[in-house]
Amino acid sequence: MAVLGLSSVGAEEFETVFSEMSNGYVRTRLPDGSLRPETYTILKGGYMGGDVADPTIDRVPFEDIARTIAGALASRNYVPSRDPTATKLLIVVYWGTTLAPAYHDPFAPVPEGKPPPLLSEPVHLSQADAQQDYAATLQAARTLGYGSPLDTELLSRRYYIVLLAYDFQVKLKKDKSKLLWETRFSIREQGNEFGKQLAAMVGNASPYFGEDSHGLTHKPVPEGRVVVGEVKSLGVVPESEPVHAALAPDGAHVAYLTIENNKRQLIIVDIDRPKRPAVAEIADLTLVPAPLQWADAGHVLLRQSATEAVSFNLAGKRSEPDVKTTGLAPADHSRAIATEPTLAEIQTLVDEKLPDRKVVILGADESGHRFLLLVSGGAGSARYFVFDRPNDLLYEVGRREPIP
Amino acid sequence: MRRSKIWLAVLGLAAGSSPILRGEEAQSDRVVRMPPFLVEVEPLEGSESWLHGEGAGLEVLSAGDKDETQAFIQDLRLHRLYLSQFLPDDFLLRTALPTTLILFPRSMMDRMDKEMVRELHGIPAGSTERSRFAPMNDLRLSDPDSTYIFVILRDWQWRTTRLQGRSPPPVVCSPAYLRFLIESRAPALPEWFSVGVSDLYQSSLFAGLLPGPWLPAIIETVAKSPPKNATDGFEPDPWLSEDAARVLRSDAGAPRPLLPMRELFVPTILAGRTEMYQRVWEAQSELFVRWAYSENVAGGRDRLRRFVATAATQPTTENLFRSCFGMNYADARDALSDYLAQAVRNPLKVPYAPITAPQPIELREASTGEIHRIKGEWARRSLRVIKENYPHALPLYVDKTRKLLQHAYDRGERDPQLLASLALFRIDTGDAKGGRGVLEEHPEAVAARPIAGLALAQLQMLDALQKPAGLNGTISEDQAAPILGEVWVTLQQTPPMEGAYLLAARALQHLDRDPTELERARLNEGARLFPRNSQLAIACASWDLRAGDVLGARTLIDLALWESSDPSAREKLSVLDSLARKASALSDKVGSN
Repeated sequence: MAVLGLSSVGAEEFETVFSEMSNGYVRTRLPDGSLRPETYTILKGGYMGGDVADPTIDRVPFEDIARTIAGALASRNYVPSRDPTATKLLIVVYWGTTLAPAYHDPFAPVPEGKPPPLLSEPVHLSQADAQQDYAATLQAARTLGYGSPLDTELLSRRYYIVLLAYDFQVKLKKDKSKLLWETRFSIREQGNEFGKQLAAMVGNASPYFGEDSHGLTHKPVPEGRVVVGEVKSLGVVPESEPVHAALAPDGAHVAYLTIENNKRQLIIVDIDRPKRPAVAEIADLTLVPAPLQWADAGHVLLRQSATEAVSFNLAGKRSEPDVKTTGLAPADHSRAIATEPTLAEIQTLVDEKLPDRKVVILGADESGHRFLLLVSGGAGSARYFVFDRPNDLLYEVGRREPIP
Repeated sequence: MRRSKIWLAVLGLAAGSSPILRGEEAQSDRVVRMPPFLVEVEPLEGSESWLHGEGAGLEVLSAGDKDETQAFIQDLRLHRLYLSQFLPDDFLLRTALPTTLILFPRSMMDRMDKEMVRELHGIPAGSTERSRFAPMNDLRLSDPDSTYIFVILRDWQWRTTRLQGRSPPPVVCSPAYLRFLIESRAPALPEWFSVGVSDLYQSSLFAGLLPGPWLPAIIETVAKSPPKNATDGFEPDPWLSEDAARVLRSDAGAPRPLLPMRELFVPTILAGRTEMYQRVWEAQSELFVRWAYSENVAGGRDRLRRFVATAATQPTTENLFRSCFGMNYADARDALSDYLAQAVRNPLKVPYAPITAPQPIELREASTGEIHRIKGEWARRSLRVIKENYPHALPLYVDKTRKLLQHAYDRGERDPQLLASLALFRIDTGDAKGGRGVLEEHPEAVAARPIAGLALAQLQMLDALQKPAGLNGTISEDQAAPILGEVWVTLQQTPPMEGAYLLAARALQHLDRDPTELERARLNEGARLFPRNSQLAIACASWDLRAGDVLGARTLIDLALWESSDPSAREKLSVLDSLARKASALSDKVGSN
């Protein structure tokens, strides 16, 4: 068992969990009473940021979320699979922050010099505004599994994660979406940081993966150490070792970490134009487990914590990314996985091209033309490849070295 | 692509050196390239007459200086001996008939070119478009049974250099010619090999590894573009581009595209592949050959030879590769990737054993018959180029060729080769009856030229089809016998001709019976030698199945399915494959009972 995170959530904090099964899905058990293993692969559904920039969730990469969920799934005997023909579940992950009008929030922070909302002049809303706000709360209720949009908990923003488990084989063979189970869980945004609460949230909700919660439940989030299960290889995000490579959103560059003369280096390679790779010395930086993330096509972020990152340009020089192009959510620029139908297709293609090797798709560019692969199984270190689908070409771009 | 660029440069130099074009560069008229037409050309007054020599698989007719001619032939033979250490002889086209070289001094070219242009401008073109004419100074005209090559000697340059006590600059065989020799071999060697080894060979032109000159004719490129870092081996791998190679030289881990080995070893690149994909395929073909020749692979040359020779006779599989190189495709791809940085950085050294100079071929004054025979055959072969490039001139050239061959015949010349040329000329120009008459009257002509025998058999086949004398519209045994007889005789000679196998299959399809065991064995041999001819494979596999030779049928079907990318042929082959499998299963069932 691996400890994925330490979390301290206030005792007054509740996590809501809604979980439901569909289409006759039943989790069966083995004679010894344990859950029968089921195979799955994870797909990035999407991130929906709130109406306010929030680096504690905006900068958390999907890989972190997926890895945390994988550990929790393992505790429920869900087993990751890379074989499309043998995979039962396609688990699509959505996460984000719900929208909520600040004037409704009795807990919203009060700007200095302003009276508390309840004491201020009443705000008169237009009918259009009211409809818009109602739509937002209705959307939040549906997203989080609330029975009514009038629940007062929806008046404040909430961090949420939604897992939708589809029948993978139906999707693969008939291109139809057959939902088998869903789990929706959330905590209040106010006073929490998504990155820090991630492990606790997932761990708290994990008993409901593939089970029925019989409506919305409120579970106090335990304090202290949260154990969420052993980390195993995902179908899409690999390995017990962290991934130290990322493909730029335009597919033109790959950044990866390596070791040269016992010093950590960030390498940025240009796939199309023959030129020497850019090298940045990063020995002085501390790193989180999956530290690389492209802010935009010209800047790669090296994350030192959930909220801190150092930006490098394509020449390997430290620089700030262009705010206009970066936007609010860097995660939007680093689509981890292609759209659903292509994932299995790409996996099959690259498996055929690289026989006798273990091939893991690490990510894709925004256009879905190029895919970053980690290929292992040969002599020496694993190799990073980029599969260029329009040209049907594989580019070998670097080696994966263990990064201390 | 490197090869294309060089050839453009070579062609550019050749065209630029032509006096015909020089004063007319500003004009935008159509340029028509025409073969040198030697019919009425004689050596300059005061010089030696035509020289003739024969031996070591060559026949030479030279209008050049005796010493230069001799040196050229000797260098050529020496070069071939070196080449045979680099490439096994059995990987190259071999013909029973000698390869004929026509050597012509550059100093005489102006006269011949001007005469050609004068005559061509006198022809009504039937169009307002004005044409300019450029000679094809380096031309190879190949028939299925033999090759003629026209070479320009650098006579005065050669003599000047010798007088200065220096060695004349090397004349080298073009990679295109080497590729022709490889690709004309039957069964054909894999395309990746012919491309890879030709590109690698090209590196030797600049590195000076293969000593001595060989066939035409990129002397200008070598002389004017000396390598900056010439070494004693093949130049480092140029890879995809100079920029890509430079980056790999400075950073061995730089990104590189590489195909999976399964995609490298395809019989032909599928249509629709991008230009980038094709460039990678070609560059990787050379990289693989280099790797096999390098010290990285113990006994690599022998392994490569075994792999290539076997791949020419059966589908290329990972098991075959493993049996030759001792590793699977995945490890080979990784090995190639790891070797790439070394290949672009270091020359490839291939050790050569010392070679003893061969005895010179005797040169003497050519007889009138030899001159007529070789000039006549050259003129006959040139007609197809003229027809292609400038059909307006065809009547003029046909007339000149007829006069040369017919006059020689009328004067009583009866050299079998001359007779075969006359017959083939008549058939080529629509006088099938006249051509057939020569061949039937002179069996020695049929014996002298395999394609003459094949032409006679084809005429006999047409006769039989026009008046089939067998049952139900089939041809009779009496009609088939001479056809098949000619074909089998033809096929006893080297090289085997695809057309002969096809004609035999066609004749047998029109008979009211299946082929005999012997006939089927001969046809199957043809299907194995020419597996890219799916028509032949389908016919042979069908007969094998009818004869109960399931194993023979499946061998041919597997090979043809591997080689063919034509959907229609593949569909037919798949049907046959299904039948063969059923027959095989039935046979197994009967056997087990």
